[in-house]
Parts: sequence; structure tokens; C-alpha cells
Amino acid sequence: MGGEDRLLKRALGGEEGAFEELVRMYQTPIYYLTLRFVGDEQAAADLAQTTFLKAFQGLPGFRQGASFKTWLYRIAINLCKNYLRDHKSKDIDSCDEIDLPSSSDPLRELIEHEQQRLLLRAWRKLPEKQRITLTLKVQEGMKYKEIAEVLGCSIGTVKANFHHALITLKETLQEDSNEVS
Amino acid sequence: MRCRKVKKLLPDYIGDELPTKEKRRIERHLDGCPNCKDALKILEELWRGIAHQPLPPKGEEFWQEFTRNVMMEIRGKHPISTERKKTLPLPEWRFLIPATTVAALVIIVVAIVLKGLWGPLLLGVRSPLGPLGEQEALVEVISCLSFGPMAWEEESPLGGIKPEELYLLTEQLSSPIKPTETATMAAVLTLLFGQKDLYGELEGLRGDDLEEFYQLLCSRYPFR
Repeated sequence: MGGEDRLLKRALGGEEGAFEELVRMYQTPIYYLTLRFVGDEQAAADLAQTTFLKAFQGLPGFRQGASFKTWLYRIAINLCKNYLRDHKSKDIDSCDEIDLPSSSDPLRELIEHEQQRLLLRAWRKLPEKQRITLTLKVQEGMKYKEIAEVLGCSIGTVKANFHHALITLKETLQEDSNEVS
Repeated sequence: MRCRKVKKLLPDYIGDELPTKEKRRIERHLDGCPNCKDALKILEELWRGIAHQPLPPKGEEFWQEFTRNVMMEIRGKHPISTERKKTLPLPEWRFLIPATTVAALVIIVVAIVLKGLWGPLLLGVRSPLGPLGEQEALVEVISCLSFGPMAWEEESPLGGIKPEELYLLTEQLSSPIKPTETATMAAVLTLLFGQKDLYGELEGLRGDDLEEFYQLLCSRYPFR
């Protein structure tokens, strides 16, 4: 039995410290996942905290042997979806507000910043399912199977969404770069 | 492998979702096809751009506060009792432990009463009569109710309390009995006679009701 399984078992037995340990293990990926989706640091922190609270509340119903990580991601994504539904206008506007780390080469930084800005804009234009799939695949490094579990769909659907997302993103970026030139 | 098929498989290739055999076939094709190699290069740049989206770095303090907030929220909404904090090997223990504790307490209380320790514990005064019996325990309780010394005989169920004495006792209770006194008396009577209904009847006992209580005792326990 792995360390996470042991912690889960202890948390299921009502041991507060074990759940705290699980929070520490996953707070960074969950926070950055929510931040990528909502683009607002305070909202992302609130959503990430709510994710853990909901996970704790749902612990008694958690199926032993299932992946805690997958379950957490599923909760976080659902919360983000609800948040974005309620804050639709804020979603696009806030995506450019993330501060970039300063570099010693200002020109290169500017180019990279512009490229990132265009990419982020194109990424935000993607349909929700494709955006989520792309994030989980590229940024979270998940396999199709894992993504299918998080999103509750088939591997085929994940694969199709991933392929479409890459094609759409590539086309949007090409259109944007044509507009700039 | 043809270009069309390779291009179709490129997302799976960069996503590391292909079996080794298929990966090798694609790599062999890419080695001799600049067109497909360019397509791969575009996808890889895209991948890198998405993967390395800048995110604000957070310090240790942020994460500590994050954990603290989550745990505070959990404690606030779901206070974890001391019982839950302990790891129990079997879920049934959650019920067995309190049940065993209650049973043990009942045994101890009964043992104390039967051994005659109830009075001193209750009153903080050791009886001059030595180890207390059932009747003595009852007398101690009655003393607790601010009655004068009573005469009793050992052989009757109520320690030989004579009807007139008991009547006198009830008469002396002109003011309502304090809840603590009622509870004490009820608990002792229940322990002494094993009559649970007595406890219920005593609960609502007030000065005017004592006459009825006396009648009830007389009917159940024929005094001499």
C-alpha cells in the first residue's frame, strides 16, 4: 500500500492530520489548475480550497482503490466550470493579467510575452472541453485514460478533443500572426 | 507509413500515447520526410508554449496559509470529535467503546451503593455506622433531602421505615424538592429496588405530590 493510500485510509478513519497531509500533497497542482482556468488568483485560491473542503465532505463516499488525484481534479474542474459560467466576462479579460517573471533580455522577454499572450488568447477561445483536455494533457501531463476518468468520458472522446484542440489552436495562432503581420 | 497517417498520429506521438512499435515506425518516417518533420516541429512548439505558460510563483508562506485555511474551514464545518480523532481498527469499536464505558460505570455505581460507599461519596461524610448497606444508603439520601434522623429496621425492603415515619418524611417536604435531590433519590431508589418506573414517578415529584408517592410506596412495599 502506497503512502497516499495509507493517508487516505487514515483520513477515512477520521484522522485530521492525514487529510492535512493530503492537502499539502495536492494543493500546488490544484491551485495552479484552478488558476489556469479562472485566471484570477484570489478566485483560484478560493476554488482550490473549496475543492479540498468538498473532497473532505465526500470522503465517506470515496471508493477505496480509486485515484484520489483523479477525484480531486474532477471536483476542481467542476468548480471551475461553475465559476466560469457565473463569471463569463471576467474569464477572458483577466487572462492577460498574470505577471511574467522579469528577464535580463527585455526584447526577448517582450517577444515571448507577446507569443504567450497570443497563445493564451487562442487557448481561451477553445471550446471548454477541448481547453480542459489540453490543460490536463499538456500542463498536467496526464494520460488519455486518466483524463477520461477525470472528465467522466471515453478515451476516444479525450483523444478527439485533444486532436481538435491542437488543430484549432494552431489555426487560431496562424490567423492571429497573419493579422499582426 | 504514409504522411497522412503520420500527421494524424503526431498529437498522440508528442503526447506519448503510442506503443513503442508505432513510435519507431513514425520516427523512421520522420527521418526521411521533411514535411512531416515540420508539422511535428509546429506541434512541439505549441506544446512547449502551452506547457510553459507563466504562472505566478508562490512562497512557502502562501502554501502554509492555504493549508491552514482549508483545515480551519474543515474544522469549522465538520468539527472532528475526540472520538473520531483516534484511529480505530474496526468501525464497530466506535459503538462498543461508549457502550462498554456506560456498562462499566453502571457496574461501578451499583458496586459503590451495595458496598455502602455511596453515602460518603455523595455527602462527603463517612457514616458513623461503618460500611453502608442499602438502607443506610437510602437514609443518606434522605439526609441529603434535609430530613431529621430516621428509625428503620433492617428486614423490610425499605429498611424498615415505618409508614408513619415515611408519612412524616413526606410531610416535612413541604417545599418543592430541588431537581438534584429528586434525581439523587430517584437514582438510589431505582438502584435499590430495580424499579425503573419509580424514577419516572419521582421525576415530577413536588411537595403536594408526596402524599401520592407515599401511597404508592405503601402499596408496593407493605410496611410494617
